[in-house]
Amino acid sequence: MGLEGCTAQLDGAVPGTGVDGGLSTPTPPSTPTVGDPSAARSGTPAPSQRIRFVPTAVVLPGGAHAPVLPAGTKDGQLQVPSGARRVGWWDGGAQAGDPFGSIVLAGHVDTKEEGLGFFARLRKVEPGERVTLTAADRRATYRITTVRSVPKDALATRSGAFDQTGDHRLVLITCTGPYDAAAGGYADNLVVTATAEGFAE
Amino acid sequence: MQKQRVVDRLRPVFSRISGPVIGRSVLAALAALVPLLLATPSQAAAGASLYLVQGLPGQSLDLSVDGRQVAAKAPAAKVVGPIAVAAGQRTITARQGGKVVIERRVTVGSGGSLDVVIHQPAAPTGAPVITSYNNKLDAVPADKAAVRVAHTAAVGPADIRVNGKVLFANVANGESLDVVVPAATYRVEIVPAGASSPVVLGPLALPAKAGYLTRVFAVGAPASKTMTVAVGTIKLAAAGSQKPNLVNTGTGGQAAATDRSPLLVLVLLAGLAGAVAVRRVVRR
Repeated sequence: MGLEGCTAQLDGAVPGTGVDGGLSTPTPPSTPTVGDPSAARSGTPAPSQRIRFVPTAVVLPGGAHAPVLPAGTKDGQLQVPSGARRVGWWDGGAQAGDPFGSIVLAGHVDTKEEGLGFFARLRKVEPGERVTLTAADRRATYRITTVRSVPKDALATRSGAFDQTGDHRLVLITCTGPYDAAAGGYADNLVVTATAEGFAE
Repeated sequence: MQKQRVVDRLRPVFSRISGPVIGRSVLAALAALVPLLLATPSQAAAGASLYLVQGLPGQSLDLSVDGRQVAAKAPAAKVVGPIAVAAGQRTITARQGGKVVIERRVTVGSGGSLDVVIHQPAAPTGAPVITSYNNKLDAVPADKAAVRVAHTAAVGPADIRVNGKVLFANVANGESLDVVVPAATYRVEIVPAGASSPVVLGPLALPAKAGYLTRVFAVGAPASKTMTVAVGTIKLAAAGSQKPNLVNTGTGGQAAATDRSPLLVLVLLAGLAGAVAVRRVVRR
């Protein structure tokens, strides 16, 4: 068969492209004919390798903690997981431990069904207090630097909350200000920023 | 089991295509193709990619994988690949003018991507070594770049300074660092660990391309002024979503009821206290 010639021309470098029936078994590695060389060295991560992780829980000042789930953007709006106690991690941003960019968490201040949400606690936090992100055996600690409110329509354009080019920082977002259900709910976002204390572990 | 179910599912399809006159043998032949179709994904996964990095300045190397030559007279800092190979143990040979410079065995996992660097050890007079690095092909957000910097130069432990600050400290020959950064061009310098001079390499402009893994190998020896970098890129899958315009995290309004401005709260409290006082007065 002509196809076999084709396969031969590929020198076996691309397994699984032929149709000669030899396919159902993995391509046998061509045995080296040059004796049995010793193994190459395996490169290792330097001790200064940074750990990065997607958080699965957040611990606020005072010790209260809540689960964190990945949250995407749909039609321009961050899809914060439903449930007053659940917090969303924006999947387009930094991970904990990265050297640059904001790691963004957003959570409910309240919901119609459940009342006050987990991030209602952000209204009480102060600069200097600590926030910890965790995942399995990973953790990263941040120290709060600023707490401020911005008009909701200026969050993306003027607050820099989603900026990925600056130094690494944690940005916690919820809602605040006057509430008007007819006008889209809360007027403002409460934005808490925190800087990393050491490296993620 | 799996095979049988697929054949059953395909049978009506074949029947429709071929009409009622479909012969038993035709069906059997088609059925015989099914394991081939099913085998394809696992076959693909059994493959792997190698990249060979020529890290010996001053030499031009003929490089081969399992005895098959993949590059002739590769100059220093040349990255050869991707070379499709079967997963498992592969033999890498580097020759100069027909003479074997070094030959080593590397192991690459199914579906894996491996950089194989032929380079000097930390001691400039040492015999060449081969170090392999697994490429992490995790998806990154659209505006980010994955970067791996490997120390494969004939020099002691080094600090890697990025845009003027030490991003990676005390990296020894054979070690590497992975990082995800905003896509941009970075100014990179390599200096002896714990010192800011003499600069071993750089400063050089390192483009970290959005959506790619950029691997940077420092090769050569400062002693012979042959320090340079080999750079290769691999496209990564995209992860994550774009920046939101809006974050709406309050749908109840309950927080607003309790969360007036402190001044307002004071006014309310005062009002409340006043009301209580009035009530008390009235009760008397």
